[in-house]
Amino acid sequence: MKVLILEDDKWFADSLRANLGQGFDVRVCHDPEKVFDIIEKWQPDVLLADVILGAKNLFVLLNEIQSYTDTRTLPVVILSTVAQQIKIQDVAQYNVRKILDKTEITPEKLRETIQRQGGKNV
Amino acid sequence: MDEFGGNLVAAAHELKTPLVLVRQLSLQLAETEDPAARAEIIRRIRLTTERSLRLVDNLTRAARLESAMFEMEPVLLGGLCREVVDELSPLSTALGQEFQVKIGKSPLAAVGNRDLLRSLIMGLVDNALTYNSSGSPVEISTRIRRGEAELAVRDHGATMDLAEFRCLQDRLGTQATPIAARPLSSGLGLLIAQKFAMAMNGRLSVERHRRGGLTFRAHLPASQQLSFVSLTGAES
Repeated sequence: MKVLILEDDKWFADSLRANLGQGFDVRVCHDPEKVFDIIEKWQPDVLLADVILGAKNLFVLLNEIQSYTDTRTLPVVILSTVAQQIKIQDVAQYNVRKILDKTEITPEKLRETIQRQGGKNV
Repeated sequence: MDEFGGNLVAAAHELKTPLVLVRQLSLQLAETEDPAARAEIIRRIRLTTERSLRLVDNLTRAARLESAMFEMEPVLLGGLCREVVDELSPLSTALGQEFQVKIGKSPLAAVGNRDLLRSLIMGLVDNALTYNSSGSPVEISTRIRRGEAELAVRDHGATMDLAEFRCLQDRLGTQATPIAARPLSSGLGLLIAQKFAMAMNGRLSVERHRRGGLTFRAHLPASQQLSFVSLTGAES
């Protein structure tokens, strides 16, 4: 299962990659300007992304992903320190399946959540 | 939200970010058996904790600025810059970043409080390390200009759009201003650096670079006591 991690903090991203372990094929992207290229070429099964990302807000990026037929079904899992401020119904239009809180997440919960998204990409 | 509330929120955000990282790293540590990998995680936990502690120290110091008495004296900027670089070198190595220090041959002394000045430089350099793109060094330089001692810290981070840059310029020193291109920070560190500069009769300025990155400058009164400088040792 291919997981694309979009995360500004390099150490946090490294740690997420380690938490996911060998059961997943993981790529990390720190630059939201480059993530669309990776999605097109690598075709991940799930996008795990932070909300606040450099010059481009995640929702601008998700809107862009939604605008193309071949990428709009990509399942998205949000992992953020502001998770409590986001309602799933407000972001469901971006194919966001789950919102995880960085302050509460555990490796088991992360793996379980990502695993559940498997096979949902068309 | 008023200024006080805004700054409290900024402080909370600044502290939450490293705490979340330390928590995450400790979870990773619990699952890691390889000794080398464990040592690297422990190093990252330590460096992240030290960063947070510096922030807490600076918050406390900034809150007490108005009531505190500071000893002002001529401080050699070059030596202080090298001290800061030495102290932050474990962090820069861990982040894959390098420094380039450009200190003039003539000793340059600013009139300031040594501890405040050190914290100010530390804050600017730490900020640059966070946002600098690997492949280009964080540049630290000093010079005398228009009678002021000037310390500059340049990073090669993301380009900032003009509107946001103007906003940063306007608000520098009055309130914490988050920068979209630099999402890990609430801007509180810059606010604190400006407060420290002002307490020493100085100021902070910022310059945007076309090819990306920012230069933050601290402008401080230059010491005219050249005899003092020669007595305490020229900068090497």
